[in-house]
Amino acid sequence: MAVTINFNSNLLSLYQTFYTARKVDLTESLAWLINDEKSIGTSEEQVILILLLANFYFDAIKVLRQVNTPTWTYLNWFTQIEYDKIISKREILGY
Amino acid sequence: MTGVTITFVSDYIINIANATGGTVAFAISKLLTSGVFNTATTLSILTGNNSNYTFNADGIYKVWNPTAGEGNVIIISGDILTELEKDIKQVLLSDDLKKELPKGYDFINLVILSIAFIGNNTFQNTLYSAGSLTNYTVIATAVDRTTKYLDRQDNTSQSTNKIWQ
Repeated sequence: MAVTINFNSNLLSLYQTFYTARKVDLTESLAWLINDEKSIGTSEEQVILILLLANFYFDAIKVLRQVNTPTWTYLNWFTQIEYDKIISKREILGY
Repeated sequence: MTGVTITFVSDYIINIANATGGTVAFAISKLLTSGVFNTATTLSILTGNNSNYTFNADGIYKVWNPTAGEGNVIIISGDILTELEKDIKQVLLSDDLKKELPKGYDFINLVILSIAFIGNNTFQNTLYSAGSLTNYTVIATAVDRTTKYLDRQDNTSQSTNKIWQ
């Protein structure tokens, strides 16, 4: 069934930046998903893909939340300690 | 809608301002996955006045002005965003991601499903068009399936949790 999908422009921009920066990692990780072995365990590719998507959504959630609630901040989502830990981990990953 | 302004107060609350020149009994209904709208709740607003309306579940809704024969489409996805936040938080804070992956693998499906509606602003708070009912229904289905997925996510193991594959 066909469906029209138009992205929130801020979300689309975020995704394009994410995809451009992470294209190689994403392609390699997604290639793993068509591998029949996906159901018998985990792989480094799976770890990478999940991590990439989670970090994309770290930014995307902010855009989506602020559409209806402009005053929304990450501290509505995390404690300060959690936020600091995530930022530290993202810096290590090059975000 | 002509003479009517709808704004979001929060993820679940909209404000409807009526400047049509007459009292309007707005009919608010949810689109079911069958492609049929459920029985409408009525919200009467005098001209020059405004009123809040609170939705109690994620979905795609129609706010209809029967006097003018037109309405707006509203997409509600606050619960799904909240559940996404839980999953993403778990992944981002994990020190051993492989332990999270039984949940994480389904997270990929969830992301793909969610993109079908959370990024879709074509229909958000825009004029209802009967010709777009197919698209509305796809979004309603995505919301419904994602909600069910999230319910199962909390209660079932990865091995039996593959509703989208």
